[in-house]
Amino acid sequence: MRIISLHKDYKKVIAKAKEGNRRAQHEMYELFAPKMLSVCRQYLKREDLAEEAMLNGFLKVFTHLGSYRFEGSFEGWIRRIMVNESISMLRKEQKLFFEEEEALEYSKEHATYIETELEVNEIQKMIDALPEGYKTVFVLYVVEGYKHSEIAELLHISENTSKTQLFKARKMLQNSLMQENIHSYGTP
Amino acid sequence: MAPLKFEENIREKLQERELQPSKESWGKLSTQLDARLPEKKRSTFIWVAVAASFVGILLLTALWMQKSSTSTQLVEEAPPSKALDGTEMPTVIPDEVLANIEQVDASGQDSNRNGQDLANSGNNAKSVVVNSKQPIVKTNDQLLPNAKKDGIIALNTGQPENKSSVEAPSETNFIDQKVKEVVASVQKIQGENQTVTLDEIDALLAKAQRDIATNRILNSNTQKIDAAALLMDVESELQRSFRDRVFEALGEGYLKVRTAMAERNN
Repeated sequence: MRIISLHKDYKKVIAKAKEGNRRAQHEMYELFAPKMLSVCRQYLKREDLAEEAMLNGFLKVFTHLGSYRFEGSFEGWIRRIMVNESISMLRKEQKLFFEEEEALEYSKEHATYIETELEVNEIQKMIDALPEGYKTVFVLYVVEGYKHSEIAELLHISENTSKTQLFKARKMLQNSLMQENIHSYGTP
Repeated sequence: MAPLKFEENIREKLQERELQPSKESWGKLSTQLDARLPEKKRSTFIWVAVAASFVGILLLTALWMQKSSTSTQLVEEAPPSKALDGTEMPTVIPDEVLANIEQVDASGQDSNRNGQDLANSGNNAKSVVVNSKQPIVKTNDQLLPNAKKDGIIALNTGQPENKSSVEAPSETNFIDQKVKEVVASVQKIQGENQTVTLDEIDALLAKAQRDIATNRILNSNTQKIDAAALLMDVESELQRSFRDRVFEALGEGYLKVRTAMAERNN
């Protein structure tokens, strides 16, 4: 019952924000901004740029709220807008550059099993250390759950490039984790 | 610790993470929204305009109500007076004032005057009637310093203490006129028949009383006072004073008649 009433209220706020009600828009912003800033921060190392991307994303959300038909997750809809804005920001900063690469000899997209649990700050630090292309593909694939075809379309690259970028990103992260373990626990 | 899938750990941690934007971030966004969505501004303006109109209408209504109530009060405070055109003047005669007037009229000086008037016939009576239409106001001079000068009578019915200070000259003069008429009629009958019967005097007195009562009722209707109470009060007073004045005017020659009337009344 509580979930239903919350959902109703949520729809009410969206409906009001659709009409241009600034208070409802502010309410929505307060509700989603912290999560959306986190999304943008995954792609953008600089926090000010991440916030700028988030604000651009919210501007698009409110200006295109009329096109939202209450089908599917509203948060998912906003999240996609934030991802697009973050990538646009990367392009604007001329930090997103991909070289077309041939398919590497990776037999399978293996997940990495590591017997440790990292804090979110450590994870972000490791991701920030990746080149922009690797990082973007890795986050899109691992965190946001995009398929290679979707990533290819979004980033204007081939699917092979997307796969290669992911492979390389994983390799780098493995090395980073190994280095982290060496620093933490000495020689493995 | 159980082995964890590294990428799942990353996904969970990053999806749960929340970062607080800067305090001024909403202000920036709001400014951008204002620039992008002028419709919102228009709708706000419309609401402000509607609210302003509503407040304006309320103010106008309040002013109008205040004005109308003020005008109503004015109407109540200033009863219609025809003294300006010299035709008829509505007055309120309190009982005390009427009694004082009657006492003054019943004094020797007035008796002499009435005696002189008795010698004259209808002409004097006419002049008395004319005088009765002259506006005479006894009221607070501080309140209405120019009222006497201009011949304007202003009665403040809203202040009951001022009522007692207002005299009714037309009423008093009307009674005087009636006294003179009765006296003249008695003299006329006496001149013709040498004797005046009690019935004739009774008839004359009753007629004069009716006239005075009618005159008083009319005056009462023009003023907003309790006409019934005033009438009852005045009628009892009128019977005594009017008769007294008539008999005094007729002089000692009618003492017997007066005694007979007093006996009859008792």
